[in-house]
Amino acid sequence: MIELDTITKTYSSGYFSRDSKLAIDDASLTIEKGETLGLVGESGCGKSTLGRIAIRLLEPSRGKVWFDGIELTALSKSALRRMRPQMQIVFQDPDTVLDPRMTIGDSVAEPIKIWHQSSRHEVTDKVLELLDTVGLQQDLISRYPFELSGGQKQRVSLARALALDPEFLVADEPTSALDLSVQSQILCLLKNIKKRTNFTLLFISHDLQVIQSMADRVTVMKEGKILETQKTSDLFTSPKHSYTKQLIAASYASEAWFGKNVKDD
Amino acid sequence: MAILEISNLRVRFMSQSGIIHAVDSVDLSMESGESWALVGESGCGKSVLGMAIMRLLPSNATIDGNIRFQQTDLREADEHKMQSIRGKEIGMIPQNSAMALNPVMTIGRQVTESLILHQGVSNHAAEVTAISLLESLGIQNPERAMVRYPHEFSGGMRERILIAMSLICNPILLIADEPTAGLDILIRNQTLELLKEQSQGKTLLLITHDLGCAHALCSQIIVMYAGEIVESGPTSEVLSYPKHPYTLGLLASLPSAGLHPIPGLSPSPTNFPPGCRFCERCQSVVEICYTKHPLLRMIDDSRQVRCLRHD
Repeated sequence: MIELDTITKTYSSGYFSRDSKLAIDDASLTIEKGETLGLVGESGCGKSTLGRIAIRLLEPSRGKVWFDGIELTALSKSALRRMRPQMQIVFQDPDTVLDPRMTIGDSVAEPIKIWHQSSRHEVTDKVLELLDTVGLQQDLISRYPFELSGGQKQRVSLARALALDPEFLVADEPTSALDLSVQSQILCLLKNIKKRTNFTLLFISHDLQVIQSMADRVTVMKEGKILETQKTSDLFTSPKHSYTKQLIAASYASEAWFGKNVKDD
Repeated sequence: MAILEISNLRVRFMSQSGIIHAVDSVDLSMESGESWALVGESGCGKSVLGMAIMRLLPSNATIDGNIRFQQTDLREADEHKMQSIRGKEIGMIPQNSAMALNPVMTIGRQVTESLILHQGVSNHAAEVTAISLLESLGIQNPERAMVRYPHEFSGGMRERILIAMSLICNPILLIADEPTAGLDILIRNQTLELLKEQSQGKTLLLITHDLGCAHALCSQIIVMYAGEIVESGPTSEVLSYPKHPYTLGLLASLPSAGLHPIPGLSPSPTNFPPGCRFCERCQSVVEICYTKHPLLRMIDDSRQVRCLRHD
């Protein structure tokens, strides 16, 4: 479904772009239809950059991106625009995603109004249905973002991303700005919606435990390079790369001791 | 004698939407050398409690109750007295390392500032102390770091600089507000190790929503929900055998425990329900929970729970 073929991305800065930094170095990966691929790595490793390149929000310096047999990187701007409804993204920080001067209802309705010629009534019905899907009460439709909690705002941005029934969704650290209990609410919600609509999901996170609970396969990145990609269960039992082993050890050391007592209860 | 003694503390904010009850009837007594973690979700009042101790709350806050630090009543102390305590006797690692540092001041000036102000040492002597402290916190080439600016450092390094700032006057009490938030796992673990090492022998109040962090650093834990303490006791006991349904729910929502979220939202702090504040989300709620407000009860020598089932 999604194929990233030898992607390289350099950022340049300074006068006449003299300083350049290699953000992504020769990265390739594929995501099957309906699959959840987890992308994990430390901050600054290029995982968000790669996520954005996957839906061509950023242009790669070299390499190709394929979406369902279409070469995204070869499309013209207008052809790419027509593809947009099929691929959506949920960002990390829900505070900066929503327009503070638009009501929740208008924010969720915006993509529908742009892409579908529906009557005002139909749009409202669709918005209410979406709010219901993401577990928000209908009366939030006339509220503004500042009146909502972080978890509620993240639900709204999820509703926006789902408004056009995308085939491919990139979730870029969707819960790292949220509390533990809210995090698990959002993750469960995402899982349940995915079960129903079966879109393809690229799930980016620095938290291996979160990745483990979400992904079918996991790709590990470090310093712009892809180290390995494995089925989630295989990655945790037989990591190939020493960095992956380090990550797994670190995340188990910090949390392994609780969890189990609650399951007993 | 207790280093920090808080009794019946209430913090309220006046706002347009009414009175916000941020912290309600909190009691806490910390002996010298103890380490306490304060955990709970955002908005539960844990950071407000930390700020109340430091007297850093905005002017629309009303504080009732007592806060005693050693011999000093922190509620009565004037601003002059507070300035001699902040940074010197009580060190604080503030939340969000990107916002807490001054972007236009060198690291050197920010780290040495409180040492020069509080102990009247010369700039040079302060710099020597700062350099050795930065070095012990694992900052490479500390002399060079002293003349650099915050934006030149990564999140993990900025956190270490904040730790250095809070420790430079060798405070008796250290308040750390979310010291590991936003750090990825390897850096987080390194920061935890450093904090553990550096807080040796100090009294530590750790404010966090990271249960792993609480377990790694603190022998005692307080769980807060909607402005109140709902459970407290030795960390390993509370996290292994949680008694309050909220603590139980928090542990079950960990990814490693299978991701079972607590349904619903915490109640609005302007309008708490008359009964138990957790009743709307509780798995084991009974009828009386909606009308009777539970008290914090001792259930054995070391543990307290606020739940009618344990009354």
